[in-house]
Amino acid sequence: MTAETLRLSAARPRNLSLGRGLLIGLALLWLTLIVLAPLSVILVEALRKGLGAAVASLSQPDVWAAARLTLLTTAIATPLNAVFGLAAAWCVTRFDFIGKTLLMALIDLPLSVSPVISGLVWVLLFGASGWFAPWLNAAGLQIMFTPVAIVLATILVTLPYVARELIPLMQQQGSDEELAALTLGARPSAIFLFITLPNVRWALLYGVLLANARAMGEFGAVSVVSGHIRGLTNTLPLHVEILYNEYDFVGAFATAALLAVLALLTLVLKSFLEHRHADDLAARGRR
Amino acid sequence: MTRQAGRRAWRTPSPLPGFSLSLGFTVAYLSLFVLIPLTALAIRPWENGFDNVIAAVASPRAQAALRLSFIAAAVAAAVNAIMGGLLAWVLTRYDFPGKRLADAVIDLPFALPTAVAGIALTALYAQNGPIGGLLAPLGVKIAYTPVGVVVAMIFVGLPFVVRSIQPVLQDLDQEVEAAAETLGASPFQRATRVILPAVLPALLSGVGLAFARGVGEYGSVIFIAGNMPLRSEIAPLLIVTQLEQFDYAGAATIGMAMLILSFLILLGFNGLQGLIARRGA
Amino acid sequence: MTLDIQSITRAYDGLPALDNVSLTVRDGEFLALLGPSGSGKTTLLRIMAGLDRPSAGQVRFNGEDFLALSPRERRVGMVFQSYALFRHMTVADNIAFGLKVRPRGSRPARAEIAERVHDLLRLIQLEGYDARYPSQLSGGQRQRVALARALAIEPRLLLLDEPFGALDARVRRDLRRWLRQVHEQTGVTTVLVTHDQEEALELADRVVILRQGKVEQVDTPQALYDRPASAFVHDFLGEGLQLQATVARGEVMSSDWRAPSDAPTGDAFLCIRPEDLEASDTGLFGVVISSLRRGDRARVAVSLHGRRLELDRAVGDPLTILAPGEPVRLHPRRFHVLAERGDTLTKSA
Repeated sequence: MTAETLRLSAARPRNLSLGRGLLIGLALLWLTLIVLAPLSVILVEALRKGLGAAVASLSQPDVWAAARLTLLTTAIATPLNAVFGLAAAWCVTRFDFIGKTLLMALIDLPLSVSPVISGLVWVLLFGASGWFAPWLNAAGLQIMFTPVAIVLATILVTLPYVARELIPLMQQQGSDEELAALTLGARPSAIFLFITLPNVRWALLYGVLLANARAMGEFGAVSVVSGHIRGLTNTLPLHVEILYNEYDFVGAFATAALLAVLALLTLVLKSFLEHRHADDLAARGRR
Repeated sequence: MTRQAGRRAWRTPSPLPGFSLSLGFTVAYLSLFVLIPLTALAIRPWENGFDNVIAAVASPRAQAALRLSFIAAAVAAAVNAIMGGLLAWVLTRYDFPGKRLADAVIDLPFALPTAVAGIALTALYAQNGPIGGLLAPLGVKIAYTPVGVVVAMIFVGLPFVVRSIQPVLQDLDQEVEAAAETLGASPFQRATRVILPAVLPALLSGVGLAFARGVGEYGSVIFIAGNMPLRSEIAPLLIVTQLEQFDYAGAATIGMAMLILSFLILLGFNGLQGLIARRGA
Repeated sequence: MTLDIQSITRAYDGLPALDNVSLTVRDGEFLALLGPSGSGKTTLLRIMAGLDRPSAGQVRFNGEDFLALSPRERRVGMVFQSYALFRHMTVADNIAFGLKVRPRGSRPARAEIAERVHDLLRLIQLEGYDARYPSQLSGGQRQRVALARALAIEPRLLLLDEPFGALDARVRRDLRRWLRQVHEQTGVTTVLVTHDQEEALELADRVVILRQGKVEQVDTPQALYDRPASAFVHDFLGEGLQLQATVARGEVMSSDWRAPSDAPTGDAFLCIRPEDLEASDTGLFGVVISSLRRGDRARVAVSLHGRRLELDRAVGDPLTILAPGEPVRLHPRRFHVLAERGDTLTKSA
């Protein structure tokens, strides 16, 4: 049987080489049309008027302000969502309680909500005629069209990413190691720092990376709450839109290229982490 | 002891620390960032009365926008089912130069900011763009038409489909296919009778994800869509437009309608998946 | 240093996993909790460790209320069925963990910890393995590391949850012998959970037989064999025959066979070990099914009252000369008349 199988699979590529080539060609053509061509067009358009023009458009103060806000937003949203992911994964995978399924559904919910809706809900709460508008007006506070609103919208959009990486892994790992540490006299902080955290570190990093990429690139949700005030509430993706609508194509595509480089970097890190993450899972499977 | 017995009503006691802390934080965080905001979305539309909700959803513009978002997402998901399936197949079964790179760029739509994808697709498929220019003499227009909307949704949905099927194809026992071959099955028969049934549940779940993503997609679509009301205006854009006119209730109504519709469609989809899974078992 | 368990009850979703269990673990003894799956033995062990809590009852250690202590404060060494070794730590770090996490005041000095780890590595015969990771060890080696890690904290009580469950038969046998040696060297009071009667009988000073959350019998292995408290215990501790019988007027009766018995009147089980049966002119009617000779021993399978029984005999024994199909009468030199479970009808003969 085995010999037969080997003979067959060895024979197959030659028999089907034409069909196989056709399939590979078609798949690669599609990938080029849908993914690779858009990627390269960004670079081409950015450099249309030469490298100098592209660099000049990137050194505008507005671009720097947008980059700063993007980084600030990410620097607030991602750590918060990482802490949330750890807390959620801990209570969902280590304890049994009524309402757990509902809780897990709620964690996933933001993934199936349109980004525009993820922005809209904050307008409904804090906008000019939002629920909390009278209270905010009385206190003289403004949330809509400020970086605060951008952070809120970004948190909502990226909320599930870390939790979704941690929950399946921690479920699979089980709690025996933590219980063992407990019987050995470890304090709660020691259990978390020395046992749980090292066991999930790659998954945590992976989730943080995904959340980070999404936070830096978020457009729809942020667009709704930002007000597009240059230098104040403009993030890099929003700045791309502004420049594009002003027909500053070199500026728009140069900024887009900057974001695309970040995306490519994310992909490289992601495939590296995927290997580590997979090793963790495989090491577990071997026991 | 008694305290423990009282608690057992809703949770199984565990010696591990941090239950109250982690659950408290999780629930508070979810309430703050998910529950309260979405409650506002569910309540806000009704403030101006039931009739206004119906009117807002039934207006020709809203109808057209919802129809475009859902139909374009469905078409894009269907295209992704076929072409994503092909890509997954080629990437798991064949060896060719550049395979690792091809596999890596599948994830690009996940990582690339949607606005960046939007302007790139527009530049590419506009009538003066490198691909749009090739198609223009044939009378095919992509950018600034509903077809452009579909193209953008194909872009964002592609990784969902490929990444759902890939692991299943990888695990599929190639000896089963070889056995089918020895029994005289043609390549087409092997694909439809042996491989497709095994991959179908994963394919459906990937297609469901791609569809949901497409329905809500905004950034990559608005540049290429042209945004003509009644023709190429997607539902999320209509929400933005209404917000700009301070029609909060109207915007919330469209948002709620989108959520309910996607929820119902995905529910039906899950039912279908369950049905297939059961038949397979 | 005795552990007293008093009237422990533990229910999961209303179903009792432990039902009014009382038990004493004596200082320095090796006690085995033996029972089929679902008998509550692991639940009982986890209650001792503090990983589970009883719905009612008390656990006292030298008079101290053990339930008031968290598992962290009990200083109980536990070896998990999965070993639960810390995957990302070396063997040495695994063993040292319990010492390193002690509060600063009671934490041993670094050199002292290193020495203790070294001693334990010698005890588990894994010297030179200190820098390995758990994934680089065999199952038996992991099991020993788990034991060393539990012993490192100088536990007042050592708990072992099916420690040999995942190992193959040979490794199991070697480890069993070695574990008994370690127990004698360290003298730690030890409780072992197992479903393997051979393991329990070979290792333990006393064995607790659990069934459906209740203690069926507690005694030394020899006493369990000589004086089983119920037909269940008799059945669980090795091969044997349990025949339905009636006791009346000072006699036990099983179909055509009867013998004097002081068991109380009523239905009972007549329990016989195969080694107590001998071919005779009187006794229970049986038919030889097969007879297999291997060296100087023979295995004779006999059908007795509709039950199949394997008898291992030296060649030359009257049983071994019978051919398959031949009838035989078997006389029990020793038998027990027992109730199906729990409190005995008392034995006989």
